[in-house]
Amino acid sequence: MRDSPSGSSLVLTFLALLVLVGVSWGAAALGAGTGVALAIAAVKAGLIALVFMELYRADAVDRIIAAVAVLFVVLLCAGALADVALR
Amino acid sequence: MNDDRRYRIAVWIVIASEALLFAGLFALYASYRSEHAAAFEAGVRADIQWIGGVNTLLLLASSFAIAWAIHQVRGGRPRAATWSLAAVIALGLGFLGLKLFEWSEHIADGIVPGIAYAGPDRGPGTSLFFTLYYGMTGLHAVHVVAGLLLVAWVLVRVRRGRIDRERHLALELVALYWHFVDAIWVFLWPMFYLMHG
Repeated sequence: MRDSPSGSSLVLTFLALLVLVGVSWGAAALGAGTGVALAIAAVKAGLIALVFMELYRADAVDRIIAAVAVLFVVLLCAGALADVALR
Repeated sequence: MNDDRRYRIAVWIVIASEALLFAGLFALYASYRSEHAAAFEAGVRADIQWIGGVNTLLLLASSFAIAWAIHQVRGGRPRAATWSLAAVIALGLGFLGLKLFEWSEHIADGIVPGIAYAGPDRGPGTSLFFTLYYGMTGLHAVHVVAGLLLVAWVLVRVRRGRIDRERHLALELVALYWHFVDAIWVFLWPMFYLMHG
């Protein structure tokens, strides 16, 4: 298993999240679409999962559970959108 | 397989189950937003923007604080970890306080869920938006309360020396749950405060 995150990597991740909050605000102010807002949110969630939740060093079973959960969330939302789009 | 692995897998399964609970609501939001795009954009504009932003900063800071607490415990610095966990609780309470304030402001303006909606831009789409708003942010707030109780529990265990450099699984598992609650909010923020067209 890889080493646990160092103090500096935790601080850098937090700073990156703050920058992304600013990017979210700016994108919304400029009228960017829903896709941009959700894509930035996905990057933030990815940073939280990989570094703060330490998925980058997690056991394969933990990673599989997390990946399947994300896959099913995406599939469910895509199915709902497809239902509206294809009516 | 040792007990640590069993507990860790159990918590990941809980998190995956919770993610699917929210997924149903995300799917509802996506579906209704597709049908009532203008009403949803008006609903987003009616929410109190600064509260959504500040609450995002509070939860992100709390996620960093609990990760920092683990870092301190692993380094054999329980006193610093205690302060970090106290910060998590303060930030979480700040989040809940602002959320309650926003709900009270909305209720005073007639912005309530369901058919009782009496706020601006009345219509089925606006009512749906605010029903989802109260449902999803309310469900999330329940998770924040549960997370705060768990953080308070591990804080007491750190202070009593029950969580230390060698034994800190409980803190790591509570942190996993807290980060998940934060990650859910990361998506709720644009859905209810930023995606206004």
